[in-house]
Amino acid sequence: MSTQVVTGLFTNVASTPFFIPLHNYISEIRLKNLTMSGVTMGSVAGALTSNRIVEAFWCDYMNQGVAQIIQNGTVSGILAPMQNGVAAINGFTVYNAALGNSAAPVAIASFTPGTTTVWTTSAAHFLQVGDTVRVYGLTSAPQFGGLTMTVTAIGGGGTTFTTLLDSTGATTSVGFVQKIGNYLLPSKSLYYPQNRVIAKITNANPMVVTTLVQQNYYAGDVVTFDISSAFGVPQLTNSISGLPFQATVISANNAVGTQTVTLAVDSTNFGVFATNSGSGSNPTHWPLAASYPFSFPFMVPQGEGNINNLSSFGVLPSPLPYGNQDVLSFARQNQASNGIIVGAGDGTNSASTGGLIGSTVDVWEYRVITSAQEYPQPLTIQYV
Amino acid sequence: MDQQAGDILRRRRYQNLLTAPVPLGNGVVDPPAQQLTALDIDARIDWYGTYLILQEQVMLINEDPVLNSAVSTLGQSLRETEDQLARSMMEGGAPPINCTSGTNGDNPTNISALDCSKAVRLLRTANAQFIQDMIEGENKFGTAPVRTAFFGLGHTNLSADLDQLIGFINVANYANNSNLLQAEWGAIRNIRFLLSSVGSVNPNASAKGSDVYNIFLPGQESYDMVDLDGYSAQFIYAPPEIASPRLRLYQTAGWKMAQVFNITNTSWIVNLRCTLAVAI
Repeated sequence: MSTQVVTGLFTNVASTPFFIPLHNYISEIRLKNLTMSGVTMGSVAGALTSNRIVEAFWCDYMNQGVAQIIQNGTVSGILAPMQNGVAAINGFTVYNAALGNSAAPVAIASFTPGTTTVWTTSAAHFLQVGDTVRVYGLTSAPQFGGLTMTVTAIGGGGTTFTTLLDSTGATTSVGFVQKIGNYLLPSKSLYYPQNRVIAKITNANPMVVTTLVQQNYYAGDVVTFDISSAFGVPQLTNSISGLPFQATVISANNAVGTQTVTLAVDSTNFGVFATNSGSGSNPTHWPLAASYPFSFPFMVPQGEGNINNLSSFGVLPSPLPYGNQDVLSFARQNQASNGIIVGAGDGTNSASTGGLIGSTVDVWEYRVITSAQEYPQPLTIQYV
Repeated sequence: MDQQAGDILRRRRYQNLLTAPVPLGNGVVDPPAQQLTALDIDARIDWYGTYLILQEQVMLINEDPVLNSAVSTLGQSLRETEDQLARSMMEGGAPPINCTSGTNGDNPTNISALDCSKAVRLLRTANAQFIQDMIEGENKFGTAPVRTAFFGLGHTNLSADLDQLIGFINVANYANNSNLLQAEWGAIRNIRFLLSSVGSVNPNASAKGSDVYNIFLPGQESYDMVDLDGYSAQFIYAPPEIASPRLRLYQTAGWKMAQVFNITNTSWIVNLRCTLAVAI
């Protein structure tokens, strides 16, 4: 029962929000950008820079997503004037993994069908690469409704975003998009590993599966499949034998925008993805609206395993962690964490493109305070 | 799992071999050998806990026994935490299938009897075992037998939709209701529904933006809870002389546990997703 102070350093990834896991209550947080203040820390050289946020403050009486900031003015020699203000977007957001972090829905004006899908919103969407979004209410393309996807690119001055959905052949539509998370944040479902909706499956040796949401699978993991008839590929289901079809991961590319899992399966002669007997069949792409409604195709984490015939899949010689090597990567575990999200944008307090973290790799110092007593009591406490 | 044995419990399941229905022939040529492979199912335990600080003045001023009430609420917190952890684990790990035979035009649709049959078919084809024995029919007016069943773990908001299903048997119409659970709402096909106000819901997750309700159908031994030996759940009370030794201003009470939920076989559990036809 005492005031607690937590301090630390972190180095951000350029233009990427940073999550600081903190289990204590956050009364206030103070953040300093040492790099943009001219301080060299380790291998990151300091560079006093004009028009960059160098200090930020948030307390529990303030709204989520904002910050009181101090931003450098124009540098003159070895000094920069400090300008006081507010970052209205991409400031601090307290995060509770059990509650998630859904944003307000934004209207979709249209999308451009293709092997990846570019979505256009009616107004600025404030999404960032790596965000997890859900689309719904797509009146002319209901087959995409309810899909959760990772944002892989942003454009159009903040009014377009791209996902790995192969919407070739679909009819564009209005609808809504809602941000429900970010690949850097613990999921609301708390536990890892999690199911992933499949974006496409190759007919090749080895088989490559692309997922709509960044997956975090690793070599040696074993998955099963949950694929409805609308998506074809009956060889991956277990509808006859009673035994699940299991596949071992040879390699995985978990990078946002790639999101592929290569499996020790020769799928050359398997059914073609999204091929079915109905008018909604759309081979190699996502099924057409005529297939609606249907269950989405899932890759389901099962456990870890080993196989001894990796040469059949072009893996020679078998390096770790392949054949007969123990891996623990699919150990079921609760990865939830409370904490605070430091937003990213252009590193200024611009009302449309701003954010605490900018496009550079900077070293930050933070100081988080949990107060034993606060006067008046924080607005977040409800009395009944 | 045992103490002092790490924080990850590994269990290994050897894979079934292919059958060998073709005769060996003249017995001169050896048939090709099969490979024995295994699947490791791992789970890492985590620690959970919360506590209350009970000020001395609160104890002195209040007429009712505050500490007794605090203990009750802590016990409820512990068990509800376990429920929430199990629910969250199944949300992320149980294979989902959408209801598609309902009539509300959404994806997933509202629940239908056919969707229930499809889910049961999926589980039975994977050799999942039922949880409950059947309830035999008896010579009582208004009652019906209940099939051997999986439990369907869902949200109480589903109750009105279930009542609308043709063939749904409310618990009041079971031929024998001697072994009912308090949360049981009724049965259809081979599913008996247990409903809870903290059942799983994904807000705005359907094609039309409606809430999606997850109904978990676990077969026998499809998931489990692993706890640490001697550490499954502890009630921890610190009297004023320990919690506040200087002036004895407050005491604390809390709970702590170490455990993890895990799906042992993803083929033996299904997440049947649906929306509502009967608006709330």
